[in-house]
Amino acid sequence: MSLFLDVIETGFNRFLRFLIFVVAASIGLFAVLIPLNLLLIKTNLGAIWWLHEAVEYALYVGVFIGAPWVLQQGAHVRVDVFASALPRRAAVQLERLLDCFGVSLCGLLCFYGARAALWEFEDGTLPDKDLRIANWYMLAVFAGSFFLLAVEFLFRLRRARAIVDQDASDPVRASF
Amino acid sequence: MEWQYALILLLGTVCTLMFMGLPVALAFFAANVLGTALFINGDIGLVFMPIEFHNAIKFSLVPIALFLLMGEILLQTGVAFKAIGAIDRMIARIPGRLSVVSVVGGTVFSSLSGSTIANTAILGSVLLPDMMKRGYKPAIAMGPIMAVGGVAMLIPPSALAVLLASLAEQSVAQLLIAGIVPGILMAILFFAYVMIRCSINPSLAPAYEPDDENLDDAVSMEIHIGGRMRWSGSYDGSMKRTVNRILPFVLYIFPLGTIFIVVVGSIFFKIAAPTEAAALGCLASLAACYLFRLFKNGIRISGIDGADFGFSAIWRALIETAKINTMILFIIAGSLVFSQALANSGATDGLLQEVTSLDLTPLGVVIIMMCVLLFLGAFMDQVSMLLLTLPFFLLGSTSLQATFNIDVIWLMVLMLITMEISLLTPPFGLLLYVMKGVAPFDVSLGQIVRSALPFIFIELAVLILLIVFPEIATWLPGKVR
Repeated sequence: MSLFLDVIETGFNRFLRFLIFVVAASIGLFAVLIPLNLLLIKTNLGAIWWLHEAVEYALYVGVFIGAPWVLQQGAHVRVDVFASALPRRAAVQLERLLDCFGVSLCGLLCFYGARAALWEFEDGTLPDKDLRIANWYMLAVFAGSFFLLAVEFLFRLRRARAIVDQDASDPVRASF
Repeated sequence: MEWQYALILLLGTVCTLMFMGLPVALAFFAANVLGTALFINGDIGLVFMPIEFHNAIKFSLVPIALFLLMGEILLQTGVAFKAIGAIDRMIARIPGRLSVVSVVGGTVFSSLSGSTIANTAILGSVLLPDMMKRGYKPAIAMGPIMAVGGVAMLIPPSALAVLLASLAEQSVAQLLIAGIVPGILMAILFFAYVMIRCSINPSLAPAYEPDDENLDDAVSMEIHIGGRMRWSGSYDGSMKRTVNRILPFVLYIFPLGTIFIVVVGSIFFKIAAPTEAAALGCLASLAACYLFRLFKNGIRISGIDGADFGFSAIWRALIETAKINTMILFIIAGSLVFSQALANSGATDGLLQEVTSLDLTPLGVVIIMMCVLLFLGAFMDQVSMLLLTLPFFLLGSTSLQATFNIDVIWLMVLMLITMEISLLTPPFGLLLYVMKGVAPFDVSLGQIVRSALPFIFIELAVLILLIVFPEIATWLPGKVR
């Protein structure tokens, strides 16, 4: 069973890594296309009319599909003043409690995201933008993201001890 | 429900979950679920809640990713380290030389990177081992590195300034420009403090002869094309010492200076909006890095090391940017509905009316706001404290800023400085932990805090100076209007 879960977790981690590669590539693309658009405008050669809205969509999708990998890396901002003061055994129990809470919360948000996506799909609603991508796609991304976050919390539950040890040795999280 | 109970319930949920160690973004999401269920149409509200998140991610937030990418490119390609080396060589024998190098280097790097963490980590890993080897006391070795790391928050490109202005729906360009003078002022005060303290107590930073051996070598240059040398020349005249000292500074710092000019100049002269300026800055960073690569392979100059990197370094920069950007924007997405729930529950208006009824002056309100931020900053990170306080301080026509008619750019600069101070205040001051992580020796958190203390006082002094003389912050953006 443990070996089977290891295989699943490895595959899941690879998938999350692929998603963050997509996010990274999209940021690289912004860095090239935005100056290109500026150049086109300044030289009166036209403009990439869809760029601003496409960047907005990409940023939204990027944040939600990237969040599970960031959680897996332990890089989401955490205020662990209380947890770091606890003895290891209690810290592991707290980590497990938080992971259970994380699974429930993300499961709930996934459920409501899926319901919202279904509503929007049935209504066929479109955003009030020039570049129109049906709303349900965006909501499906939201629901999918929280599904992946819930799964990652389940895996964290499994490796709670290792997470607590790692947090103790490296208290600095990514930030500005 | 009375507004007081709603306020305690919503803020209490976020703070309790946050302090228990749940990722901050998810603490906000949990409060959103609770707030929406209780104050925004229950089950139906919860179905509509995900739709609201789409509105949270706006185009105005794009510069955050791009400013982060700028700094990451310079960091991952190793170019940032070269720049600090050049500044090290440029500065002659002065009291507390390496601490001064960290202040000057940190200020230069903060004008290239919007990340305080990157700034502190680079300076700490490059300069601290050398400081320890030279017998510098931890008190003067670590303090300037941490303090100048925070200057990145003020001097553009500052990712936090972009975040603050976009969330407050104010001009990003004005806030970026407004941070320049206070940032430089702070760096000058750090510089003066180090010089004065090391002059009074030289044992803190023992004087030493900088490594000047190769200053007497002839200056040589070779041009290689296709792996073969095509041209070479050398200079062995009387000015060679000066040329050897200045050349690394000119060749390393000048290309990096152009990045700052591209970003700030394009905003200042209204050639580009902040997002476009940030993207141009990324391209300029890339161009500067490839120029440095040329110094490694094509143009070989004595004393100039160049930088050797491949596509993998750029890719690492993109991945690191994606990580930090996702982390920040995920919290922002989480907090959007939170401010709506606060407003719908009546908590925002209730608290603001309560404060307004105290008959305070605008200055009194500003001081209270700074005190709240300083208090929160001791326990939580900058993004979280910003998102918790913004609905009360800056958002909407009933906010404290609007009610008391406080200059919004000035207030945001004060907020940035306060957040900068909070990076150094225990127990959660992030830079304290970064320093502990990069220090090449066993150092207690207490020692790190003590070394940061004088610099916290300097930052408080700048904060007071700005409260008394708002023009320090408002003068330069006034020129852009």
